[in-house]
Amino acid sequence: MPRRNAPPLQADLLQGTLDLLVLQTLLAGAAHGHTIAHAIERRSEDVLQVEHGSLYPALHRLEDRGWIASFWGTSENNRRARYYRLTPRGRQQLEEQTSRWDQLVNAVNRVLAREVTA
Amino acid sequence: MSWQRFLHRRRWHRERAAELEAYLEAETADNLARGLTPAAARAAAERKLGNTTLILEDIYQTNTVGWLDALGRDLRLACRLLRRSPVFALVAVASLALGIGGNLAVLSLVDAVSYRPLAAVQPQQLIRLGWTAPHWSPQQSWSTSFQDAKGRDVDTSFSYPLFQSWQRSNHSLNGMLAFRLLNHVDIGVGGRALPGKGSLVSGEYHAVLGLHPALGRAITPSDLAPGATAVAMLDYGYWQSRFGGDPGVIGRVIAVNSLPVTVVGVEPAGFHGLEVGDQPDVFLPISLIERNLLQGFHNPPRLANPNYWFVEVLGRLRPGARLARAQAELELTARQAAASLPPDPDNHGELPVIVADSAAHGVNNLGQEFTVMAWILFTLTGLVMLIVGLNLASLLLARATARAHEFSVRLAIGAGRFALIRQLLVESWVLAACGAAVSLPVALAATRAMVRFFIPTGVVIHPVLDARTLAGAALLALAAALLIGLAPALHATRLRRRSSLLSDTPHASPRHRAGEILLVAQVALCLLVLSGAGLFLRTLHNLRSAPVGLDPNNVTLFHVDPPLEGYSGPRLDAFYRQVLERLRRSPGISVATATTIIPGGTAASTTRNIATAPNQPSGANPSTQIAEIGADFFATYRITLLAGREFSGADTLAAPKVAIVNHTMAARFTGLPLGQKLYYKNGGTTQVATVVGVAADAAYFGVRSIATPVVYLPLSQQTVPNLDFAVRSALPPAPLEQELRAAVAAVDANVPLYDVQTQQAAMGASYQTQSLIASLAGILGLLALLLAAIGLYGLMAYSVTRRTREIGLRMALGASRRGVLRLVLRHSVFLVLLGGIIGLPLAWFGARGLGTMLFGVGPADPLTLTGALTVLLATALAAAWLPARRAARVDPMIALRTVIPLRRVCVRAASQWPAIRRAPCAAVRHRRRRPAGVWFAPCVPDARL
Repeated sequence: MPRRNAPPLQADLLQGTLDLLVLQTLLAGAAHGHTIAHAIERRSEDVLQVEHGSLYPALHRLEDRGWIASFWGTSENNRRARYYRLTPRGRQQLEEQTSRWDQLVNAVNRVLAREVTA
Repeated sequence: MSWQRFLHRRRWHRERAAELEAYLEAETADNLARGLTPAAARAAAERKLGNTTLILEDIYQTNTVGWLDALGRDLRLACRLLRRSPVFALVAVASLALGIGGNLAVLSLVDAVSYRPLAAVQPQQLIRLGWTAPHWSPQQSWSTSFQDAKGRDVDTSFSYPLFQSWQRSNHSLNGMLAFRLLNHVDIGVGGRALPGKGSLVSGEYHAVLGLHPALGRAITPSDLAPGATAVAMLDYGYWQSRFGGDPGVIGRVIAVNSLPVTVVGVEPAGFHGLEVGDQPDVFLPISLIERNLLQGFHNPPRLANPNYWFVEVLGRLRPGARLARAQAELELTARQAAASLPPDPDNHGELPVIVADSAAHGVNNLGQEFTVMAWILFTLTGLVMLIVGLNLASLLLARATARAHEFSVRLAIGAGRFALIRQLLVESWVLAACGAAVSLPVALAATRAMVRFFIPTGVVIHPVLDARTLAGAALLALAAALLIGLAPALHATRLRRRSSLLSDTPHASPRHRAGEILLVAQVALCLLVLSGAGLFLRTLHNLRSAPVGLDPNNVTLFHVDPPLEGYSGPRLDAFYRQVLERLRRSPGISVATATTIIPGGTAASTTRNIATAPNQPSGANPSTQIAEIGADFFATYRITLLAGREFSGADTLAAPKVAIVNHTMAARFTGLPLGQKLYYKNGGTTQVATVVGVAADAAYFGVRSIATPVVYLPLSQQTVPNLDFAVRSALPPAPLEQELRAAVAAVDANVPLYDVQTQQAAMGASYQTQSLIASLAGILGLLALLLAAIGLYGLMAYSVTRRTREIGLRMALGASRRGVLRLVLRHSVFLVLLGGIIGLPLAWFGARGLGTMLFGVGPADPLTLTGALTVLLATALAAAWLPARRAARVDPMIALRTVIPLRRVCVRAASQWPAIRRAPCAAVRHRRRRPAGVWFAPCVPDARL
């Protein structure tokens, strides 16, 4: 996943994508940062190698927008950890963004398919 | 970004740091479970997470406003730095406060005189009418005039019938009003009369200006109708001071010049009449001029007489109407009105040209001289402000250079140059803001002092610190901050990074170029202010010692206006005669006289109607001054009679008319003047007087020149409404005044005395402007000198500290202490001379604009310029003496072995050198006392030494 020297448009696109991935992961239930990072990696079958550190500013921004909320809880191995959960607004956002993502992917695919036939 | 997050950004920061730590712990635990060693497990976790500092900063950035955060940091740092050097902070804030406060005071004065809008509705629509004519003059006038911006003498009095025909026939104006200021009225309340000022107003006055009375009703056209009750309105301030703001004043009857009038209203609080500087206490309908309000002054009818020009006229332009159009229209009406009158043979068919000016800022009769004075003061305070700025800039520069090491470190570890400049600018802004805050009380005090001590007597001005002047102060402070902060900031951040990083001592050149440039500029400006002050002080001295042809010592004057109390005709003559007799009989008064013109004062009576031959046309003669004087005038003033006699009791109304001329007037006759005839026009008839005496030239109008032609006429053969009495007495002022009041009271206790003053004060009034400028310029000159001295001292002290090693080396190589002393003094003299060379032409150019304000001294007066330069040099030597002596005391051994910490630039060093020489461990003790900084570091071997 190219992060640093990518053109801005793509960076924006991918930044939004990371948000989408986080929201989707939280759909299953509240989780803390470590879990979220590993979940994304696992579910993408290690294709999306998220730099775990970059997850936290994203979480901060999402919380700032009110799409997720956070609370301190105790993790599986009895450690204090900050948990995140989806808010109703976040859920709504996830739906909207997912459908937009689908449109985008379809559109890109159509273009690519045409070029292949031509 | 929400403000909530911004305000709680520290707590957020801690939370996120804890969260990252939680991640690391979880990941480390996972890694341990995979069988890694604890150290490797932690390292792997950290690798996986990435740069925690960057992440936290990323999050912090979303919570904060970057520049606001940085600004807050800079502010705190600036305050800490200033607190650490309180003397510097005090000097800086005090000089800024003086500079800004002085400017603010002068600004509010200029504003009050020239730029404050009149307290009327839409004042920008108001225009004021006047006329000019080279030779034309009305048959009878009580004129007011001013000098306009083009230098023309504009007369502003018109006849009331002309005003009325304008009202009927113009289309460009939305109403007109007429008014007339009465400089002397007696206002009697409850039987006690006090002198005051009044204003006669036409019925439209309040409606056209859009004034709403604070109490009661305004004067309306019906108050001017024949047979209407005499009414009056009071000025708000007068109502407050004389009536204690009593609302019951409405309906009270007061006496104005012994005419009973009923108070019907009080003017609004911010309205002080239309004339800048003249504040009427009472407003009266103009129709009262026909009643016995002004007895013995120009014969009635006055309002209906088209040849009596005395009212001032203001108009309100219709929205969209052009000034030129209105002017042409008014001129046309004026011509038609003139054509309907019988032609006046004296005016040769000439007609006045109507001029219209904006009256948005009120009617200003104070004249061009007052404006020039205000601008001179403005320039002087501005120059001092510049000097303050340069002075502080050089002090800040020295501070910034002393912090070069700190800056180098900051730059080296990645601070942007802009961040450093911003930090230094914030420091200067903090200073400027403190200075501006302290300047407000300074400005208030300065304004009060100026109004109290320097404004010509009788002129009432209301300078206030309003939003506009405060905005001016803020702007000034901002400009000052930029001026004092930018140069040091740019300079300091450009210092060679490498050399200042290597050690605490800058091995830079001993010269301190930027500081020197600032100092030279200061010296040049200081010379400008000093030479200006010198020119005005010399002008004042010249005016005080100008030959006046009379002896002003021990002469005391007072003014009476008995017609205001109903005197006229023979009763008036008898009053004057009796007062004079009483005065002459008084013990302690050696001689007394009366006159219509105070010699050397501010009033004059000038005519072109006096001819020395019967066939010379009147109205076109050289202008001549007239004074009506009583017996013993020349004896009282000790003016030499060159030939002939004084007026005597024999020169009665029935006796042949006589006159005395002065030396300059005598030259106008062919042959000996004694016995020759003077012909002068008076109210349509030509009178002839025989010259019975020739007096030496003496001051008439002001003291600048006594060589003007003057004709003295005897009071006993003229009718004059009011007079000044002059007595010669060696009594002290207080008992003498008692004596004078007793003399008048013995004749009529109801006639008040105005303007009891010494002859010297009366003559001083004619050059009050020069006195004002001279005293203020003197103060500002001293201030500039002090600032320049501080600047020079600072620079020299700083440069001596910088050059300590060089000086030590010179001494080690054989330079004497005297030689070192000379070295430093020579350097400062060189800088001052350089500033002088730049400043002299500037001073010369600047002074050329003063022209008419000076007397007896040219703008390029070499004595003043050299004097200013000498004073500057002497001050410079005195200021440089301390640093120079310190340089001469440098111990070469210590200078060469120690590194001189720059932070302790000047103040302490002088006292500590001997201590160091006595006890080598002084440095150690010192370090224990001040652990915060390393003061003495061992010498780093330096190839250059």
